[in-house]
Amino acid sequence: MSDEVTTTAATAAPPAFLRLNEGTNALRAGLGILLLVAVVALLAPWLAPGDPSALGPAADRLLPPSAAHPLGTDMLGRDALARLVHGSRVSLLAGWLSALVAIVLGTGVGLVAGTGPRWLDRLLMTFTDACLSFPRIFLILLLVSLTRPSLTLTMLVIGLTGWMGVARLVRAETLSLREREYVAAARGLGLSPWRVGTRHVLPSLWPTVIVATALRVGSAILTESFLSFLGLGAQEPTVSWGAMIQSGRPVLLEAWWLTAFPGLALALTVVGCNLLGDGLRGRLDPRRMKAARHE
Amino acid sequence: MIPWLARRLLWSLLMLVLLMTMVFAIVRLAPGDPLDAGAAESVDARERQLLRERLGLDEPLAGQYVRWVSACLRGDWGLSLRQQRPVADVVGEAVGPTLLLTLTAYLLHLALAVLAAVAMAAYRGRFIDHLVGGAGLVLLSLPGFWLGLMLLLLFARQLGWFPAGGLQSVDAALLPAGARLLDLLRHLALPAATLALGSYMGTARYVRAALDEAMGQEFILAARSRGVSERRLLWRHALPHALLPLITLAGLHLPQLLGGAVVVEVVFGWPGLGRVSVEAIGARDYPVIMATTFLSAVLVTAGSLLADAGYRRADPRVRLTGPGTP
Amino acid sequence: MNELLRLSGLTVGFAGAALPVLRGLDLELAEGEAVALVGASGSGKTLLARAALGLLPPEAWQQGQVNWRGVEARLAPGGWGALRGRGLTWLPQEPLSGLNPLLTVGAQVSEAARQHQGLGHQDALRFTVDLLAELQLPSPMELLYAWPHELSGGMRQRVLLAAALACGPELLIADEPTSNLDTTVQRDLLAVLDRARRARGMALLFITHDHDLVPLVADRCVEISDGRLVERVSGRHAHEGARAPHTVRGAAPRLVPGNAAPALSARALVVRHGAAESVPAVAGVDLDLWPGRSVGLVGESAAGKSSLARALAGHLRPSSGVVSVGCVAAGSDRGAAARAARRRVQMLFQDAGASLNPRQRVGDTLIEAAGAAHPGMVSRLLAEVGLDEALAMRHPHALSGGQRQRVALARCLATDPAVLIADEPTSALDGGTRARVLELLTRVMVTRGLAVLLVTHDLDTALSFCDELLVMHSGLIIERAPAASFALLRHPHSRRLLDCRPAALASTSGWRDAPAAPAPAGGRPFSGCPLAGACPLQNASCFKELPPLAELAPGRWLRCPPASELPPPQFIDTI
Repeated sequence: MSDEVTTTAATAAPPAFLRLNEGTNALRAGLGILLLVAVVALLAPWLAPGDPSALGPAADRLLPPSAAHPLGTDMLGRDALARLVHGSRVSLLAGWLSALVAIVLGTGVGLVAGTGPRWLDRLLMTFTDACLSFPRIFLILLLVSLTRPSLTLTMLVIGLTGWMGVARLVRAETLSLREREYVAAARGLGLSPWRVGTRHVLPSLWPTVIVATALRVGSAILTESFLSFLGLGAQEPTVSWGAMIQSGRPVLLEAWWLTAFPGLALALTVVGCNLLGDGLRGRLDPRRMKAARHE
Repeated sequence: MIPWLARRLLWSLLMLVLLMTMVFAIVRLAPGDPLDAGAAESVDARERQLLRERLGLDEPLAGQYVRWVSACLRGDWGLSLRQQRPVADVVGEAVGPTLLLTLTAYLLHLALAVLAAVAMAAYRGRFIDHLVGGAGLVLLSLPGFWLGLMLLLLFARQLGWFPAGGLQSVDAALLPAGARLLDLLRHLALPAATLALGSYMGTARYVRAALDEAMGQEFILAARSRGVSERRLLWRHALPHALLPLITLAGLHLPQLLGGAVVVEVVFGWPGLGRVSVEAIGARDYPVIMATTFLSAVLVTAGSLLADAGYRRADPRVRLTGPGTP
Repeated sequence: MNELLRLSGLTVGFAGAALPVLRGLDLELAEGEAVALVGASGSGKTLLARAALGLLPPEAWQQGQVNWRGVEARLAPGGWGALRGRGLTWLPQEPLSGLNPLLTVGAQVSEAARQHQGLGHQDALRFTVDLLAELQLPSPMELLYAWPHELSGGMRQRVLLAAALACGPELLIADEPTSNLDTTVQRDLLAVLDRARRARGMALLFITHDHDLVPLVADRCVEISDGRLVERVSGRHAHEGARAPHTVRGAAPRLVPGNAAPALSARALVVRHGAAESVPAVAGVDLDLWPGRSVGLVGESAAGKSSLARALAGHLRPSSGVVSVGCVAAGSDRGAAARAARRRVQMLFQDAGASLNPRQRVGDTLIEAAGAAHPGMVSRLLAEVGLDEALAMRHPHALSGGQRQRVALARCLATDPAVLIADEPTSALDGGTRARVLELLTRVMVTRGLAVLLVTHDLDTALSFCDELLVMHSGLIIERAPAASFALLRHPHSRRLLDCRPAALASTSGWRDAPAAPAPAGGRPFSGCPLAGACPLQNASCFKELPPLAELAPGRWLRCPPASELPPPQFIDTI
């Protein structure tokens, strides 16, 4: 009786596929999804040969999903699957490039504000706050309304309106890192500000930036798709998922598949980004790393 | 509170000036003449010159800026190019519906978020936790306009439970007050649900993380050692810690919510700021977009002011002592 | 006596760890008995408390039994949850995080009273007021509606005690309840705890790392080491023969050589953390540090010790005043010359782990500190602080607390400094490690001729290590004296610090009945002497003007005119 074993550990864990939003599993699932989408985007010309925008035979218009056209055809008789495959390129490209613009800008502003003199910090943060006050989409609409829509412009605009959150995050992290005692100790050793910054502050900043990147890609993909949906993104003959949804909208009742599948493809890609972000956060968060070490 | 409020108001004013300046700067700094971009491509040269004069595009920049600022302050943004009505009227009509939609959606968003968060925290690490979390993550990743279209297809077209769009039925004016309200709510249901469903998980994850953190604190352990029940620990001791930051978060969420409203308004034909802006784009009616952009930013500034004041009322730690700068 | 709690063969460990923390431990506790459980940090004493309460962290596993009144606790009717509160309850260590900041004092204390005493809302509030009054908390009616953040640390800890007592427990498990309090506050809390316990006939399990506290609270002492209870000495005898402050330095106090120059001197140093009109953390300090000598800076929390230390080390920019290192003013913090001057003053932090970059190996840290990599330098430095050369390849998280502090010291030495500022370098370490680190500091100081400033809240540490003592309060130095003649300290506040040391209390009968005199905390505005209003010697002029720091005899300075007129300090009764 006295040797009886009592275990207070957690009760039976749920099956692995349900633990998606936990560290390693999320990381694997997110990477897997994004890899799949990336492979499809890279191999698009071989997976779906031919011009996805070329008109199909008149008899093929608005066909429901079948063996010949797994995802059906649109009102111009084009194969929806082929267009879906080609559309992945725009989403990935727009997502990553505009996220890159936002991250580079945001990290730069955040770093300068976090390490620079106080007046510069206040100036930059006031500007950032002002930019944050605009709902992004209105800013984007305003910018797009002043010029002719194109994919390049869309990506640039999404990036230019998305850096503020990153800047705030990086600044907050920099300020908190600056207060660490090992940074104080490094300054006490008489190291130059540059060396203190590059050796003791920057390396600890990477996790924050990397996680922010993954999440930003997801949100950029969504924004791009909405602009395409409004006809303000990539223009014909470039295929994009948002534009596919838009073109399916008038025939929503008759041909739901034209709207449903591009949306699901978008959702899958963004889920991948979010899972990747969550997984990376679980992996890279210093607090969690510390906890893992103590175990 | 008073000195703080004065400082905070001053800060908001500064923000407004900045916002006005930025909208102006964006329009002026964009490459080319706003009219060249296509607003009046069909218009001949003489009409074009008239339009330029009416919009004041020939004045020096400083003069244009003063005109723009005074227009913002008076709410008189001139005539809409497309509708040939005062911009103020066009935009003014749209503010009400947008606020109605956003606020309803936000209430729904908060309710969903808190319920989901408490459910996840109460069943931490178990099936329900992962189910709610996984479903929320998928919802968070859906394109809002697509979610709207799908809900529209299912609940309006297939099942016919809700109207397919618009603010009210055509014959709404003829209905008695009660029925009119019901009609409005039926029209509101799908757009608000789309907006809330697509966004609640962001807040829910935040609340859940805050709940987890609070539940790991020593004061929870101390209360538990005094025999306080788990249910009471969660609702009475930990939840306030998670809800308090929500007030601040509400201020930060406003821009996203208003942005999301644009998407939903387009899909459901909801006559708000977003739809007005998107329609104006087609016609290159940029004075309207300038006005809606500025107004949406004003709404956000006002919202964050309210949120900050609310936080100071709610948190005992800053209510009495905190000097706090904005 | 009836048995209350019995732990038998208790083994607790963490999943993945090689060894369990507690290994087959037995403990019995009878009704009304007060037992002290002494153990070093990391010995598992907190884990024992949580196992007894059935509140182990989820990642821990447990073997063996916890019995309550002869019944296994988890099989008791209603389970463990029914025992907690009424049967046994817990007084946490940290008064700041032990109270819920978003619930009023009244809500938190009366909640327990309602649940366990079956009282209605009004009755529970009345019960709470009586309880707060019993624990000598001022104006208990108003306290009901106070928020935790409005209270001082000592008051918070009493409120926590009130909440625990409101359950009417048969056993209170107090987990280091005073380790984060100043000694004067510690005395008051121990006094009310002891009185409350005796009045109720409640059993007490008092967990502490400090042997000196044992005779103050317990009838019996149990020591935990290597996961087992290894030693059982009667509480009354536990402190005998131990801990009269013995000197580590061993030699007679080194006198200031007449012709030498100070390694560091500060004049009229003022440090403010806020705006220009805020209360200064350091309010005008003159100070000299001499090569080969150590100065101990003591005082309670918020006295300004750390701010002074950081300003001297150049980590904080003083609002006014001058710090000069070897006759060079170290004013600006820019430029290569200033940085070179800064290398002459090095700082040791309380939390050595936080002061080492977690991403840098020990060897790289030392090379970076030295500015260049000479062959054999790393191993020489490590040898100097008594560490093995092999540690150079490790990251800080793979070191023990004592090793980290040694690495931090080696990093300081790598710059070949003239001055070492040590801010509570040993307060996170256990007794044995603490003594060894202090010995190492002494050796380094003597062999290198370093000037050392040791900041500590622990008078015993300062007495055992330092040549000279500085007592600080409200940002001012109130007394300065050779450490060897500490018994001659005269300032009423210094006396209070001396008398409230647990070792001193144990030999004072009737300390429990002494009135809890409120000591004014630092950090609030004052005119005149900062201690005026809470001082047995105060007179009218104390309220009017700040007394000067006057030299009584060579090396003895005092900021208290009334005390300097009283001859032998032993007769000042501040308790």
